Amino acid sequence: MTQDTMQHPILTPLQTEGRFREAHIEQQAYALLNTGRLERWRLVSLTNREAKEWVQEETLVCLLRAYYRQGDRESAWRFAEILIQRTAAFLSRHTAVWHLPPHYVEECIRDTQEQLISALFNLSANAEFWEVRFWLCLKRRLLNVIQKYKRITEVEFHPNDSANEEEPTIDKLATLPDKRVLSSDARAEIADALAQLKVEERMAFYLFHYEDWGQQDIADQLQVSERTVRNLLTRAERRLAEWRSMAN
Amino acid sequence: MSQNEMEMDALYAAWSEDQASRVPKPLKEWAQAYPNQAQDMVLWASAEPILHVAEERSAYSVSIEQTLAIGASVLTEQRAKIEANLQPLQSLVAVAKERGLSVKALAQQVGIGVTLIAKLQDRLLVANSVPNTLLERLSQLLEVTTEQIRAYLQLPPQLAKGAMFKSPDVPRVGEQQTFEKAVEEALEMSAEQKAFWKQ
Repeated sequence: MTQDTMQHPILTPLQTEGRFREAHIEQQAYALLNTGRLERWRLVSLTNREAKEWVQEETLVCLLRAYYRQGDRESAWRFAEILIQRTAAFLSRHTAVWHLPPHYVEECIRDTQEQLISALFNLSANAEFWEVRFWLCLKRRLLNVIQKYKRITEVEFHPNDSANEEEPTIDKLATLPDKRVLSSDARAEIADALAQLKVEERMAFYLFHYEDWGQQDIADQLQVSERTVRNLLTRAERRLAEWRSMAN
Repeated sequence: MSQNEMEMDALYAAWSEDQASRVPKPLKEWAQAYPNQAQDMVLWASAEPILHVAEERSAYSVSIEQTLAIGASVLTEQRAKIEANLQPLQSLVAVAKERGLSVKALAQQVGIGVTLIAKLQDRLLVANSVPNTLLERLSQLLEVTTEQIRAYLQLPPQLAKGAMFKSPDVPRVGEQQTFEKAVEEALEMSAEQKAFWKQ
């Protein structure tokens, strides 16, 4: 079948009980399906997000999956191309802050894009949440991928750096800055430093200073001993102190 | 992609939207409500201040042009991989079983009777008479494209698998009939189901 002889795809309801597309997404999708082909491609190819006719990413996913299910692969892959274009700035921006070596940043971007495409062309109910909250699905995948590469760099660059080893703990932890009293500049500064911490150090530091958890609660959550929590916090503080001295 | 992935997506969305609300719930409450996902939540929460800063950043270690270039190669590779998996279907029932669906469950979820599933399986229905809505429903449940199902239905009718042929005559495949006729004949379908497919 050629594109011209194909029928319009049908938008089927989401399979998961109690899960629905936003009403405006369905309206947009139906409106696009009832638009002529050339006009449809003009609309979905708009690049100005402020445009009144801007097509939401969830609508694009909905149409991609509908066209793919129907067998119009060319249209489906064209939607995928548009989504790759639309997510490029997001991926460049959100991978830039983690202090990963450039080749790992590229790998993060590649892995995330692969997961994106794989999910878009997965016709099972498991992938349909992309039609509901596109950016959050993407952000979660990206976070998982970043943590994977953070852990790889931890092993590569600090192979013998175990939090379980005995270390002197410092008693100044309670004096570390609390985000509630930080200016936006200071918060940005701290965030930049947080990105340099190891994954476990960051989690412990965050729970202790941002969420006000006790060391025992953190230990229970991370499934480590309290001593390990103290070591994680000590190391985090040491790294932040090094970072501060370098920044000054 | 596991079922868990979608549940995690939904949970991440709920948590993110709560965090963006005026009075977000403390992480501890979330962790208590979802103990099995608490570790992921800690990871998300501890990454949030960093991602927040990313929103304001304008200098990237990998430029947007490079990201687009990576994306272009990902599209090419993924397309080859995904399309290579679009094999012709050998059996609708076998695919359903792979997805954990019995014939009865498939029939129930699609909204037709088991005899119709059997007729679809053996291609005893005129392919062009099968409504698109049914193809879409099957496509969702079997996780294959309607194009694959249509191609399967357009093959010649086949003998029912496992049928015992003790007759001295050569066994013959049944006559094809239209979907409409098959619905009329299906004794196990409710009046409501029949009315739906007659529309």
